[in-house]
Amino acid sequence: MKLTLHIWRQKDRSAPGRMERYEAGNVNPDMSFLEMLDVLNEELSVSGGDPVAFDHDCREGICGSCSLMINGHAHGPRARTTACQLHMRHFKDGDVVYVEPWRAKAFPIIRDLVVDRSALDRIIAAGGYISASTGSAPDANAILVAKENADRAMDAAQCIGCGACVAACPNASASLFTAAKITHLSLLPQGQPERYKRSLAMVVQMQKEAFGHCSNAGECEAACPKGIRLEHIALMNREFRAAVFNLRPAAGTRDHGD
Amino acid sequence: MNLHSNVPTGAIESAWTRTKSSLKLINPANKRKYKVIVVGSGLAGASAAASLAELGYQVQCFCFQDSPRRAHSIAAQGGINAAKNYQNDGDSTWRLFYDTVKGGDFRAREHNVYRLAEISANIIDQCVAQGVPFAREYGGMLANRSFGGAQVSRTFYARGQTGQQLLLGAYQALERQIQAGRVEMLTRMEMLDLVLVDSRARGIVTRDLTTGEIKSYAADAVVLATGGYGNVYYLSTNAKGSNATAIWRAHRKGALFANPCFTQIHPTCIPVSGDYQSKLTLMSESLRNDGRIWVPRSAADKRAPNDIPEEDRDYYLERRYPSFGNLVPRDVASRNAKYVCDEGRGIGESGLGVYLDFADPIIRLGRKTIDERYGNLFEMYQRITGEDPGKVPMRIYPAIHYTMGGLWVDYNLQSTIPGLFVLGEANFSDHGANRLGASALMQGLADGYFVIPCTMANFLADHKPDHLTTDDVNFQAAEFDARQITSRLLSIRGKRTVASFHRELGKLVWDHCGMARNAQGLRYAITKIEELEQEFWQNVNVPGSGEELNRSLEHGGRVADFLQLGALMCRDALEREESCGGHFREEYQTSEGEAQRDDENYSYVAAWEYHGSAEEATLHKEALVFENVQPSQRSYQ
Amino acid sequence: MVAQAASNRLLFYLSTTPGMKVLMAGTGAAMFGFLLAHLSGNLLVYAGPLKMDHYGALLHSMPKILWAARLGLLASIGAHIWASLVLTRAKRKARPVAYQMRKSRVSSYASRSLMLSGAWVAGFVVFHLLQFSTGTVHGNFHQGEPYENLVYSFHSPLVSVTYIITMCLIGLHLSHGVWSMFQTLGWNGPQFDRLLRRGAIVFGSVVTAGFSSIPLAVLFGFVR
Ligand SMILES: Cc1cc2nc3c(=O)[nH]c(=O)nc-3n(C[C@H](O)[C@H](O)[C@H](O)COP(=O)(O)OP(=O)(O)OC[C@H]3O[C@@H](n4cnc5c(N)ncnc54)[C@H](O)[C@@H]3O)c2cc1C
Ligand code: HEM
Ligand code: HEM
Ligand code: SF4
Ligand code: F3S
Ligand code: FES
Repeated sequence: MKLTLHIWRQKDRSAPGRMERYEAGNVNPDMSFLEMLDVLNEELSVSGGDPVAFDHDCREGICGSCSLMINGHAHGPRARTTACQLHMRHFKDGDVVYVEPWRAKAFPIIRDLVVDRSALDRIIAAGGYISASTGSAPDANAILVAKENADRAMDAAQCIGCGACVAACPNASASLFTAAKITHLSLLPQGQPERYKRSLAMVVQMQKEAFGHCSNAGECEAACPKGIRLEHIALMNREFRAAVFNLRPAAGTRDHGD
Repeated sequence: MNLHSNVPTGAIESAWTRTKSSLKLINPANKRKYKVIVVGSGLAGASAAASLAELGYQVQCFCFQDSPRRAHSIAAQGGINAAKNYQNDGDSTWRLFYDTVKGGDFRAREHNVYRLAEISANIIDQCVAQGVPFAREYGGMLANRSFGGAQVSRTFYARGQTGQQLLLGAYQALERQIQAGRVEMLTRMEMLDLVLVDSRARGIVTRDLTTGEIKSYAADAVVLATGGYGNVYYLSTNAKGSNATAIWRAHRKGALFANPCFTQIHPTCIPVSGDYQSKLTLMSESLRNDGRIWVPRSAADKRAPNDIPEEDRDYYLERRYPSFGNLVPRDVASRNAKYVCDEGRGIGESGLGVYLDFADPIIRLGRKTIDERYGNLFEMYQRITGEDPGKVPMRIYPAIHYTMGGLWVDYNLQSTIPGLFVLGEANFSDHGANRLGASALMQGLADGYFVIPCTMANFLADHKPDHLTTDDVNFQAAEFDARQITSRLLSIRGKRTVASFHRELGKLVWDHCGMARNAQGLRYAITKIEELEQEFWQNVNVPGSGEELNRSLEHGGRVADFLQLGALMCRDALEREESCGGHFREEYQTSEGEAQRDDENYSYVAAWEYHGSAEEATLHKEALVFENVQPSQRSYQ
Repeated sequence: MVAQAASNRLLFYLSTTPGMKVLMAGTGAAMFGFLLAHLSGNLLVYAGPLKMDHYGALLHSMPKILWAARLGLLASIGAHIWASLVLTRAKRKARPVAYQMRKSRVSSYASRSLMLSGAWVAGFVVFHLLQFSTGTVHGNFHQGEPYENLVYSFHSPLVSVTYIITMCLIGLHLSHGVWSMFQTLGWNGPQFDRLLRRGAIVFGSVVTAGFSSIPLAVLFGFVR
């Protein structure tokens, strides 16, 4: 089948970008969306054109690298599917397809469809961990975890850090991403000692990174390829409030909230 | 060259403990004065970087993805082994050690494997403390399953995303150290060379993948944890970016490359559907617990699978291996699939595939039970192929999945270059000629969390920090070389794309150094690959410039290294005149067609020294001594 | 010391977006409460002029309570509007370059038009006060006789239609806002989500229908 593509081209961070039109003449329905772009890129390189840069690695929906806005949907039109898992059989001959990068102040464009998502790493660095230095751990079965809690923690922990939630959110909010990690860790007994400190630090970092706020639009949940749910954002709101008002300074140290 | 494995003497059970107490230490105040470079942020790299930083070293960690969390370890599905014996089914450190050595077909170093089995239990403790949400029983205890034909349930798992959860645990530990200022993380960076000063590893040269800047970094020691080289085959279950550049360039600087021909082929992957195909997707091995593998009896039979009656089907594994049936080990299942396809009985458009059929188990157990067991795998298959395996048999074919070979390291994980340590899939250490399921994750974390922190101190204790900078002439020279390679790639402006060379190389290696190998094919492949390499340097087309994000340039550099490594793999396979594990030489098989090992002549690690080309490479042998287990022949009939 | 720490925490909280959102939810809830009360008061028109005017008089007979409520309401409106402006500005900054093509999957029109419906309502309230509280834009205003004032005004189809449009927009605002309030406060979970979403739509519709019935009743002569 044949498709008309409109792809965002931008040389580097500061250059102005624009949509450019390409004809993809030989698209096989069994190809993945990224393979369709590979073929386009091969054609561009032999014909002296400039291949389109996009992020990808695992190509099986787990690394979170791929990050394409396809026809106005983050990761394309299929629910719970990353761009690398989207197959061309879901398009029709003659379709016009718009491909854009994630757009957010916190995700500056590096080139074409490649954006800088290090802001998400900094949110994790701010507190998205349990401080357990190597070697100090007790036996793994010493602390029991109710199966229900382990399962719910796992639901949240499945986030692949792709940033589709940010891309789809009308406010470019990273709430779903941040909430997923806060939920994962605060549901486990191991996460309790740092629970408040963590929520506080992560939410504050999210704001520092120039992500927008959450107005409960729900687009993030619909775009998320891993089914992370809005309930986690509700939980984050509660955890954060508790953190601000309950966090007790350790004896002799200054209070976080002041 | 003399290969000193540095394995401790005395009883194997207490060897690691004794080693740890004899390794030299550095006092905490002095640790801060040492700089360590860690290349790679997968399970091995992230755990090493975090643990070293916790101890106080100044760490710089590099990866080529945009975030350390995206390293290829993220994709591992099945699980991680540990000798916890939580199930009371008779597991022990010894049994895990024995299974791993036997699984590796007696081509691994006993002491390394024993240490791995011993440390396995600490890994689970560490990961649980970090908040890794392993599967649990209703009572709140950790759940286990049996994996890859093991007779005990020792595999810990987090749904089908064990690698992801373990990596996120290590990544979070790493981010904590980044926040604390003890690790500097450099993402979207590709290591292009290793820098030696006075024959010791003192730094690396990198290309910043966004700006193209080529720059070097100095340190007191360098750790490579850059993963496997399965992408030599072009199509593999590895991520697209996985590459051998870091280890290959270190090899060119003098590090020996061990057992390059030991590669693992996984029997249940989704077959290739067209030449645009960019990678292969693994389907969990557990499918073979219920699914039945078959091909049509006759090569001429082109009917749709459901129209082929029972009597015209050949359930070839059940026929040839009555006692193990569809559950024979990975290499046996893969090789037999190849044989039936070679006979022209393969299915699908390409003829490279066999059926994995669930019709019988669905009748026996009901669709509901089958969906409960394999629902997510069926969904994944359907997403890719558009077919429902509950209605039409799955099409599967083997694909390259793991590389047991890698840079040679001693017991302390130090390569033949002093100060260069190699961890995870990048080294050759623990899996011999064949890796057991769920043990790569274990090895990566054992190396990173528990081994390198001890052995690094031992090395650095003998080397005072001297605050070497990259102004040193050796750094300048290495940077110059790296720039040369880049500008050479860009100046060719030939007619063929990088990918076309990569595909051609992949096909050569797959056909001649894949599931079954023979001397003639290997010689042919070596010649062909060397011709291809020459053509590459005359006719490759790398568009764009070096001062920008340029994916073709990155790929070009990696393929240049794959070309050389591919030839060395064939050379190694040619030299090893026996069959063992994943290395099956057609000339060396038993009368039943099984792998025939030759312990008398080939019980060694083949470590290759670089001299420009595969033909000129020189072979060094580290003899393998088995004092604790008795090598035996595998049999699955 | 403790008090100071607490107030500092509050200030800190309000400087964060979740804090700001809680402010919106709180003030929204206060306004929503007022609306329900106001609606029940206004529905007294169906009980006739005596009852309604009596109710008005009753309210005005307790000036302290009345003024406290008015001030509270004024502060709520002010804070709600202030927070909405701050957040809207932040959101613009969060995505400086718009998509060439963007489609929504699930978000309701209500959630995307909060600023529009909100701004309209704010404008309406000013007009409404000038009309019924001060009588400034009322052709025949009689202090203390809300019933008469109201019937007189709604005889004008223009006024009535304006009111009905406004009531629809308020309903829209609330059909997202009431659910959103619970989510913002963190009082939501998978068990409640559907209930809360439906409840919000029901409340929004009740407010729209209840208020709109009054101008309609006047126009069609049921209330005269
Ligand atoms: C599909 C699949 C499923 C698997 N399932 C299992 C399983 O169930 N159980 C199991 O035990 N094992 C499994 N394995 C194997 C296991 O996942 C890997 O062996 C292991 O994760 C390798 O970890 P690593 O840390 O050595 O390397 P990787 O995770 O590959 O990390 C490599 C790192 O090095 C960096 N890097 C590479 N080259 C360069 C360079 N030139 N410059 C700079 N940085 C570089 C990368 O950025 C990355 O950070 C599976 C493998 C695959 C492919
Ligand atoms: C009768 C008057 C009003 C009522 C009853 C009301 C009620 C509410 C409620 C309950 C919410 C939900 C808060 C939350 O998500 O937690 C809300 C949100 C909102 N309101 Fe109002 N509101 C009113 C007037 C206004 C006005 C005058 C404006 C603006 C000028 C406005 C703008 C908004 C905006 C923008 C939001 C969404 C905030 C966000 O989620 O980002 N509202 N309102
Ligand atoms: C059909 C719809 C409505 C009718 C008939 C109506 C009627 C009235 C009347 C008669 C008064 C004067 C009361 C008095 O001073 O004695 C009044 C006051 C007021 N109304 Fe309404 N109203 C309507 C809708 C609304 C809405 C939707 C809002 C808010 C968004 C609103 C907000 C107010 C306010 C703030 C006052 C001033 C209260 C005070 O004096 O303290 N009204 N309304
Ligand atoms: S929450 Fe979902 S959409 Fe957002 S980063 Fe995680 S996986 Fe991607
Ligand atoms: S789409 Fe955005 S507004 Fe909130 S609910 Fe999701 S983050
Ligand atoms: S490429 Fe890894 S998730 Fe798409």
